[in-house]
Amino acid sequence: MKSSPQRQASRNDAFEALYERHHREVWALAYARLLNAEAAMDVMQEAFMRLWREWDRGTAIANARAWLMRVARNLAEDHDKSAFQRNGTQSPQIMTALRSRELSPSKRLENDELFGQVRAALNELPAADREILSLRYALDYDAKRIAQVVGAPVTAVHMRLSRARQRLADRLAMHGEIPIR
Amino acid sequence: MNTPTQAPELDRLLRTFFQTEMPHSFPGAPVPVSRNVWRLGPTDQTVWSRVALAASVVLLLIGQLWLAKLGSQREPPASAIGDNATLEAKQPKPGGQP
Repeated sequence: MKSSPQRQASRNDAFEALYERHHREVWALAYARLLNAEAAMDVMQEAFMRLWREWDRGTAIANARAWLMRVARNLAEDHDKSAFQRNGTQSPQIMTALRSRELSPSKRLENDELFGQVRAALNELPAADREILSLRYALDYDAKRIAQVVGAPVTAVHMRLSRARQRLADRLAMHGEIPIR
Repeated sequence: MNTPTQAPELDRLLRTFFQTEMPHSFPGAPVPVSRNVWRLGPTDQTVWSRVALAASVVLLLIGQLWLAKLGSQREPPASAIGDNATLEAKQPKPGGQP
């Protein structure tokens, strides 16, 4: 079966719309797993590329958002041990564009120490807690939207968010470096 | 345990942390080399690969037949060579005796 230019164009539009709606969520989820912004970007891009390839093969995906989240989680888990981390699957142009982050060197230095402690504390939390925190604070999502992304009831999200914040505060206090007053 | 005054501080810290970590601008949709390209669907690919395979087999058979025919044209006929016994019989003996 030939895919006509019209059909191809409509698929491109659908893909771009999906990307616009969800790429930040996928990034936030991958970031929660990896605590590495660039690696999370790689994972986000790879998840969308895989979605495109599935569409290209004619696979019917009922819930693209849930599919993306699942793939991003799996990719993030595999990230450290896979060849994808060493070689990537994107063109050098895309990878360069991804890494051109707009943060001045002085700002980075200033944040490095403080954020290093936050990162260390986050790293001690369960991945599910980090996901909720990432969606809450990176994207400013409320509990309802977080619940849609992670596929959990809103009440459970409220509870987990509260617990995650508490655990994080405890760990930061334990490290004793950051005054949480 | 967080006191009410701790919560905003932690919120602020986490918001700053995550939003600094998050890229300020994301690249566009990572699409697709195949964008706007009229290309063969999976069924067409299968059909075309079968056609190519059949054409290859036909060409192979034609080539084999042609080579066989060429070989048979170059090979001298058996009657032209004759067998050794016939040749010896036909050759005159030295001294002119039969």
